[in-house]
Amino acid sequence: MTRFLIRRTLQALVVLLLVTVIVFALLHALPGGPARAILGPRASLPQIEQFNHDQGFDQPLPVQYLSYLWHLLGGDLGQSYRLNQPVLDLLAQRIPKTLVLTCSATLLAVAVAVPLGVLQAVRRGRFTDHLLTGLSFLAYATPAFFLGLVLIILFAQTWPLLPAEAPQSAGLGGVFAGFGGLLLPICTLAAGMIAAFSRYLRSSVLDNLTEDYVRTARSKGQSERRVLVRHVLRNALIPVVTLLGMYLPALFGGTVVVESLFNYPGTGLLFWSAAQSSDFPVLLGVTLVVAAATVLGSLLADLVYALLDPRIRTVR
Amino acid sequence: MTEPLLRIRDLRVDVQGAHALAGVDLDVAPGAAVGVVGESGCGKTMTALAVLGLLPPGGRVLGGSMSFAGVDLRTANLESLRGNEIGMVFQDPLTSLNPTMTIGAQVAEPLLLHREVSRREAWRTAEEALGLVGLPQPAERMRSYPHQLSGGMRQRVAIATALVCRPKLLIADEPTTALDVTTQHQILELIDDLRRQLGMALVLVTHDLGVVAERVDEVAVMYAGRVVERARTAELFNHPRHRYTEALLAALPERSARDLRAIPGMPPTLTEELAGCPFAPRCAHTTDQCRDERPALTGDERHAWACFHPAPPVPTTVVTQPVPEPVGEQVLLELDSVSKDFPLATRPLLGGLTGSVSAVAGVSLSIRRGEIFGLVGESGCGKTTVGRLVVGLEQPSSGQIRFDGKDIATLSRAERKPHRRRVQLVFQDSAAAMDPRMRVGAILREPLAIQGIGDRREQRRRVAELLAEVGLPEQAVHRYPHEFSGGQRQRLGLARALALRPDLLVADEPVSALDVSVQAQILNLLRRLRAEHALTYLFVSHDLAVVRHLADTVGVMYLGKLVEVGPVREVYREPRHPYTRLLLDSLPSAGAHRSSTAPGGEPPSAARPPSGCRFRTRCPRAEAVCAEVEPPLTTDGGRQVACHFPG
Repeated sequence: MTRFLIRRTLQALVVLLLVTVIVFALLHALPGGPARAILGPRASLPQIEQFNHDQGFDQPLPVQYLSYLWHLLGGDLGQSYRLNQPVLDLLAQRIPKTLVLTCSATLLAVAVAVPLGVLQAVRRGRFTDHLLTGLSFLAYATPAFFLGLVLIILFAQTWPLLPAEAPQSAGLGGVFAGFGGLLLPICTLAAGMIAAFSRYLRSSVLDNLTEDYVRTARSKGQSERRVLVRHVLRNALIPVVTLLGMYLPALFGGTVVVESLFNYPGTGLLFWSAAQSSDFPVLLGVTLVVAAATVLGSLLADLVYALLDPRIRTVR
Repeated sequence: MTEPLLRIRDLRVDVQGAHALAGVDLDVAPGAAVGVVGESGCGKTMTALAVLGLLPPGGRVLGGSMSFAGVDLRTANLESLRGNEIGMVFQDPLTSLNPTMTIGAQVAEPLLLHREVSRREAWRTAEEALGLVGLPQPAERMRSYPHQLSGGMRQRVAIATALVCRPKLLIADEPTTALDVTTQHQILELIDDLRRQLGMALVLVTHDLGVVAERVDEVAVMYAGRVVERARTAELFNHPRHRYTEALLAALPERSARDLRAIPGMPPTLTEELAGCPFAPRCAHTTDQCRDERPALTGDERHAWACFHPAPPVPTTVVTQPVPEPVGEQVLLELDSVSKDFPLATRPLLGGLTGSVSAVAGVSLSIRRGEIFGLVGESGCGKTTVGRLVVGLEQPSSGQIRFDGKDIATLSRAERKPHRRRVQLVFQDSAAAMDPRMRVGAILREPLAIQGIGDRREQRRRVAELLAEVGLPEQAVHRYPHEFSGGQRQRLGLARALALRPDLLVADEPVSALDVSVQAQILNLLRRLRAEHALTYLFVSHDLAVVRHLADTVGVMYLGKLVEVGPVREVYREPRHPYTRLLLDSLPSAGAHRSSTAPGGEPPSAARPPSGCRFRTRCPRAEAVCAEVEPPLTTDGGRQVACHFPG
């Protein structure tokens, strides 16, 4: 197990390195560049050249990259041009907020999707199944920004139950204090996941229900409910866990939209505004964090997979 | 007769519109063993499932009565009976255990459901049950998962689960069909023992007449959803009265001589209501009465049959050995110490190879032109790999394969194409090996097109010719492979293999998936095709009875080694290698005499074969020398055997 973890960590490092190379190259291939974005359209050419010289942008790209990497190894992600703050500080401030949002959304999604998926499988072909299937496709096909707007109109304007804006406080304490403001963003983010997971679990449970071991379980005299919970569910969850791991990048994409929509000062919003102002160090920093989270997510999925499925665990 | 424990009367069951059961009568006395036999689709499994209320989706009991110990099963709370009063064992031990639960938890489960016991007590009783079914080190095995056990061991676990509550009735549905012949023998002996020990009744459902022959007191033969004959076991095998039973016994390869008496046609589809006897369309004794009226079970307690024109009560044909076809002297195929190593699976969590396994370890054999060489052995012995090596699907790691005197590894590119024409392969399920989106006509024409034989018109003519040869209608060209039944699929596979007029056919378990009556048709076809086309067969099979019937020469493989080779008649009459003897003793045979020596142990892993003779760990004759020196395959009067102490 230890060797497995070491190997996966090394793999993750290689992946992260490749991510920095690709993002770095892509950012610098963009037209305009940070000088124009920061100094404004009226800046003169000499001013821009001066800025580029100060930031080291007049050096060859590989040299710039190596210098970035060198700083990165020292734990220095650079300075945001726009906010004039170290990127590390920005991330430290924003990541916990995004984690609160994404983790709540994922927990909600799993908590709703599991019973929903099982219900659909058990009621296969009947009204409940058709209804839930229809709703799933609707939720899956609705873009997050649209769903968010609909929710705002319904629950913040028509029936003013919840605030339309997420909590703005800098600290996490404030976020939890104003958790009501997070409910709409969480629901917006969770809707697509609920649809995807419940559909997946439905077919996974259906597959498992036809397995011989389920017949054996019934032949022991268990109630149908016990068969489902004790025998089928665990086996059916195995593929869903993999899906969860793969869903992480999509989840971040969702936070970019949802955080902008509800003006929630998390990583997604940070990324969005940095992209608009070509704030390279921030973009690179966020991308790195997301890449690391993705790699970590798939590693976690593998570990949970092994926990659920003894056939993977004990392969020697 | 005492009041039966299980009593089924006129049971009718529909499964998705098909009349799966059309009036089944069955009695099982307390402590008695009843065999329910029949071909696939006859309703034997449905009967078993209906008793426990475990019919598949779309299954419905339409009428009739079922009672167990006086309780009406159609209204009873079945959950309290299942696993408690009635235990059930299913066919495939590889899939019928929950892969994510420990063995202990699965065996203990019925106790926790039906008995007021603590977890600790349930665990202890489960451990006892595992000991009872002969699982070595039950205490340690309790925490194992199913995938860590072999198929035979898993079936023992399944039996332990079924018996842990000491049921009055055990229903075993094809409990040994997925197992190797020596393991099958062990499991059947185990069920026998436990039944006597626990005094429970047994319903043994199987397609294999040999399995029930000496195991049960009474046999019920099913056909098209009905019990057509029921009798004391010996009575049934010696004096079958129903014409179907008679025909079925005659189609058994171990029972008959030259050509098997195959039953023409196929069992009826069950979607239509049948007015008369369901066997009438295939029966040689049919009259108008058979077609119009449904025969009822007539006879007495000892023997009853549902037939208007029963067979006379005289003994059936005596077992006679087939006379081998005259075989030429010219050697067509020769294997010279051929080995094939496969890398062991990479460790998914760690990566890297961990060694290799020799699926075939130095096999030498020669097949003469016109010969049928039967290659037998248990699963994993390497027989299939030999077949794949011969057709060139695998390259040998070492050794030479010579076809018609030429080493096939040294063939030039130009020589290879015509060579491929001469060696063809037939699979266990030939249709599964065909492109499901191609019509039969295109499938059969493809090899001709690839080899550039004739123009389109000639190819079409050849296809029609091939279909006629294997007994399929000409219209078959327009249909897709999945539209054919098992036997027809095998005919298709043969037609495809024959398209290029090969010299050698490698047939890998070609009749293993077929019912007895259809199996007989295909075996007869194979025999006829050999005579008409001067074919040579390498016939790979786990079924010793089929090989005895068809082959001229038999080779027995064990863990990648050929341990005995010789003319079929001599090897079966007087096996010289102890492994061959073990296989033959394990062979369930309808009516033949069976020795009672229970075979020991399971084959070791081919990845770590024992030193010296690979069979020594299971061999009753093993001595010190067997662990040190590997016995070579030595020739002695037309027979070859690899043993230090041949019998």
